[in-house]
This record gives sequence, structure tokens and C-alpha cells, in this order.
Amino acid sequence: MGLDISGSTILAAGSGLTINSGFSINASGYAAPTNLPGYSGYRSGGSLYYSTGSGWIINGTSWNSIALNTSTGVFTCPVAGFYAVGFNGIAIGYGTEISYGYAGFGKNGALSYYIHWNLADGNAWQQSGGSSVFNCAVNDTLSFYINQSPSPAATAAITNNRGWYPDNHHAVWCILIG
Amino acid sequence: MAININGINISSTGTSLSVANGATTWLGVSSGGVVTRPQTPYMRAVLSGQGSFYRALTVTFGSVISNVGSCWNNSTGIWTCPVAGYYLVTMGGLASGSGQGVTGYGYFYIFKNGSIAHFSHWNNATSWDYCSLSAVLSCAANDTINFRIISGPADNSGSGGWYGGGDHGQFGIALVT
Repeated sequence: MGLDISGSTILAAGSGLTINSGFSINASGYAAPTNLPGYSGYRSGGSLYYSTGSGWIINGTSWNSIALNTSTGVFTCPVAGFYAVGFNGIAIGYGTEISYGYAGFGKNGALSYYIHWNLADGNAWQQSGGSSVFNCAVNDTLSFYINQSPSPAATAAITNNRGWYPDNHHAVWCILIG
Repeated sequence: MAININGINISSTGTSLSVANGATTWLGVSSGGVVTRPQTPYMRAVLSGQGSFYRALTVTFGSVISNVGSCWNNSTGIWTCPVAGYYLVTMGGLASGSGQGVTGYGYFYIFKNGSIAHFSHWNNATSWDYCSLSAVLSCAANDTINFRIISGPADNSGSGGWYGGGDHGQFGIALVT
């Protein structure tokens, strides 16, 4: 038994419901979409501590809705909506003159929010991370930047290859939340 | 007006809509289009009364603040996903530095089904270092999620850890909308 509204369906599924086959509510009332755009990943391997080109290349993922290009690190929004993003990793400075750095997500190549670390000892490590929500149109892009324009460009850090430790030691993610 | 599908009521009060099983609301849509899911599986817990340098291959908590759906088992330190979906997992806390006379580095992890899903690292020569890690995991029903904090190398032989008192370590898991 179910309901068909001009092709959109609400159907019984066991003791729960499914709406258009992509949204299910089980018998305990747990409601979950089954195909959300997003990814959760990291930079696998490598020895580059800052991003280049179109952003930090997220080439390893625990899941990817295919919207993330793992060759470029660019996520292309398949639908308009609100996208939550998060990033956590370990940063390092270099000497006393380059003990700082920047990281953040950009939308369509323009930065909205970023974080800043500033180490008293440039050779020390420091955990860093952030999160935010972007209001995106279809085909908008989201990329993560470290010490690279459009984030504040830490030129000396790039010269000395400083920023975030790569090789899986971090997590970067994005998902449609509404 | 209400529609009953196999015992589940889809009803409207004014301009809002709800999907309910008896008195239990599964899904609501307000007159402004805001969607809520009161039964969303969710947990939030903190390190509490667990010493100055807490470390564990499977983290458990001194205080579980919320456990909607009872998916978190604090005896085993395991979350079991009740349905397939995307789960937001977060952890954050204060990690030891070598200036405190203990191991100043370690690793912290989010595990899925007993394998590393994501991890990060702290390494601090001076005092405390605030650490955090978050990720969204794509899970099937009955997949498991857990946390790990180790001090020193992979054998967890270090003497440091995360501050385990005063609710300084915050952890959460929730099914994403």
C-alpha cells in the first residue's frame, strides 16, 4: 500500500516507509537518505605540505559520492543546498620566520573562512582544524586550500614546504545537509 | 487530514506535516519547510574522571550525556549503526606535551568495523595541545564505529594521552540529515 503523487511515491517498507526510494524511515523511526552528495577523505602519501593548483588533492577517500574529483581535490555540488565541511590535521612551521600558516575551504575559488596557526617554535607541530557550512548553487565548487591563494599565501612556508602533514594524517570532508 | 500507510500516519496540522507511528513522531516538516527527525540516532559523551593522561585502544567515557537510540555501548566502546546512512563522527580534546614529563606525541583515530577510517597525530614539546578530528562515514546497518587514542608509537607504550578529567574531551556520533 502506498501513495503516488504525480510519480513521487510514499510506500510502506516493512514497518517503515520509503519516499521516492531515496529516503527511508525504518520501524524505529530512524529516517535517513540513502544517496547524499559528499565525501570523507585525505591526502594519501606524498610529501607536499601545502596545496597547489585547484586545492589540496584529496586522493584517498573512505567514501565519495563521485562529486569529488580525486585528481584535483575539487568537489562539484550536484544540487543546490547547504553543504557542511570539516577539516582536521597537524601543521608544522619552519624556523622562527615561518612559524605560521593558513587553511580553509573556498567556494568557486574564493575563500570564505580560514584558520590560522602560529607556532612559538617554528619546528614544532600543532593540531589545527575547522568547520563551516556553505550555501551552494548547482555546479558550485568547494576546494580545500593550505598556504595557497585564495587563502593567505604564506610564501616562505611554500618555499620551505611547510603546512599540513600529508600521508593520511588528517581528515577532510563535505556533505549536503539540507 | 491524515493518510494511513500500513499503520504509519502522515498527517497535517495547519500547514505542517508529520510522519508518525502512534504518538511517536518520525519526521516533521514545519510550515516553513524545516525538516526534523526526532528519532535521529545520536550520542554525545565526554572524558570524565579518567585521569590526566587518558589513552585507550577502545575509548569509553566517564560520562555519556546523550544516547538517542541506544546505539552507543559504553561497556564496549562501540557504536552500532541501526540503519544504512551517513554518520558524522567528531572527537576533540586536550593532548599531553613532553614538557609535562610524559610522552608528548600520539595518535587518535576513528575506526569503522575495526579498521582505521581516519586518524591524526599530535606532537607537542611544551604543554597541552588541543586536538580534534571529524569525518562523515558511509555505513551499512550494523556497521560499527569506535574511537582510539594512543600515546607514543603504535603499541600505545607512551605515558601521555588526552586530559580525561573535567569534561575536556568531547565526542559525538550522529546520523546526518
